[in-house]
Amino acid sequence: MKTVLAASAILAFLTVPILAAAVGMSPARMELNFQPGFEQDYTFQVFNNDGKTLDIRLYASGDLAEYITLSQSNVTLAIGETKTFSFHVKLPQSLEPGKRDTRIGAVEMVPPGAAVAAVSGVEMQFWVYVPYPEKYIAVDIATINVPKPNRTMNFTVTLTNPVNASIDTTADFEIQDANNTTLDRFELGGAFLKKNEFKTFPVSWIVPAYGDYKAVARANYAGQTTRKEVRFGAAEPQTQQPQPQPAVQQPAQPDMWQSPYTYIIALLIIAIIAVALWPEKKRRSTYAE
Amino acid sequence: MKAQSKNSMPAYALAGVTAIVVAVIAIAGLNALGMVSGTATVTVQSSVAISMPVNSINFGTLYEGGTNNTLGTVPVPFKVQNDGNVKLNVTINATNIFTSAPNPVSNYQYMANVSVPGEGTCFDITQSTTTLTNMPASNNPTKFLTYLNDTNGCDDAEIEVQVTVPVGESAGAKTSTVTLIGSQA
Repeated sequence: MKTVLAASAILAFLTVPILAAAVGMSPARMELNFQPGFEQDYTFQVFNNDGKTLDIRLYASGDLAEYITLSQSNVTLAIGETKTFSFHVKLPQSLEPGKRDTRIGAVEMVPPGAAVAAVSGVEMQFWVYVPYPEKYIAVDIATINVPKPNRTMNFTVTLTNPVNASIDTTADFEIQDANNTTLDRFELGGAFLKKNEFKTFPVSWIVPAYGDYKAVARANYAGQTTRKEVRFGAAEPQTQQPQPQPAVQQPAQPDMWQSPYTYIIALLIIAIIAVALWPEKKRRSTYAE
Repeated sequence: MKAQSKNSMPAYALAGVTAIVVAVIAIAGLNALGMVSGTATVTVQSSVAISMPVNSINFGTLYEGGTNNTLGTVPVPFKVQNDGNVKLNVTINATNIFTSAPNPVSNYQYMANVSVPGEGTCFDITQSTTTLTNMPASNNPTKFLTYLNDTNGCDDAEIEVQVTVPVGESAGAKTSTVTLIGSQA
């Protein structure tokens, strides 16, 4: 019996409780056809389906985030609790054609401590479909690598025709600095695109120094222009602060071997096991002596 | 301007999972007992929910140039589980762990993996990040897990993490918060 109690004590030291955090939202998606100036309130639910109270941050992000106002931004949910929230949408008179993807999100607040810890969250999709005009070319910019000074940064510019009409288009590309001054300009050439066809243009540019930049791509067709811009930055690494400690990383959990009680309990277990395993005859003869 | 929504019955109901319960319909809507019968429709609202059965990793003490990862059995990798009723895409981003090497950097990497021991392959491996990849910066959530199943019994995945201490990194405890966000696939 003593053996069992001692073993339980050791297990209690070894077992670090890990609480699963879980957050959910309903519905998963809302869809809407664009109407100029459209305005309405929508409701959604956030729930905590796990074993601890959660502090949750609510947010709007994506294409139309600036047209959305949430009823509140922080909430605490008890175990198993579900709460209903609302957001107000006020759309502008016009939007870029296509599917405008906006997200309403609920994410756990970051708990203090822990070495490498993860928090989870979910997003509800709020999709607004904006009709295309008779002729339209969609422009997209992808950055291929991380910007670093004196290194080549690679981009791809993709032109896509989402409408029925075939369109003859040209494309150009610019790099601007934080003051919108053009640093470099590239003529990318032309393309004749039928419905759902696309063409991709690669672009390379050498980043001159640390700083904030903007890549701007344009498609010019049928007297119209579609524009897309992407901001990027070559961030300066942070300077280090010298510290006296020798260890580079420290364990986040307390080290059980630093506790004197661990050794005492271990010795007790060894003693109990030794007594239990000692041959009975030999034990009797030892006691007889 | 206050316009009427085209979807006064919210369009998001379309995204729900619809179960149709059909009653026995007799001729002219009457069954053998003479009672009126018909069709009842039950709509189950779609929901997105994720949990993390394992949400912290302790890499212990490392020295400059030292590497540790969760690819073996210790330390245990993160585990993410789909608790909703739609398939999920999941994004990842993290705060910097090293002062001298901000994300994204090869000193701090991640990848999606099949849960071991676990439920088998519960996501689309071909469209997920399944090789060690630099952890995205906290302002750049990046999709890395695609079509994570919502079926009970096969709805989870592991997230492996590898750290390599940069030479010249200052001493002290290092922390990072990894954020995983799930949305309908």
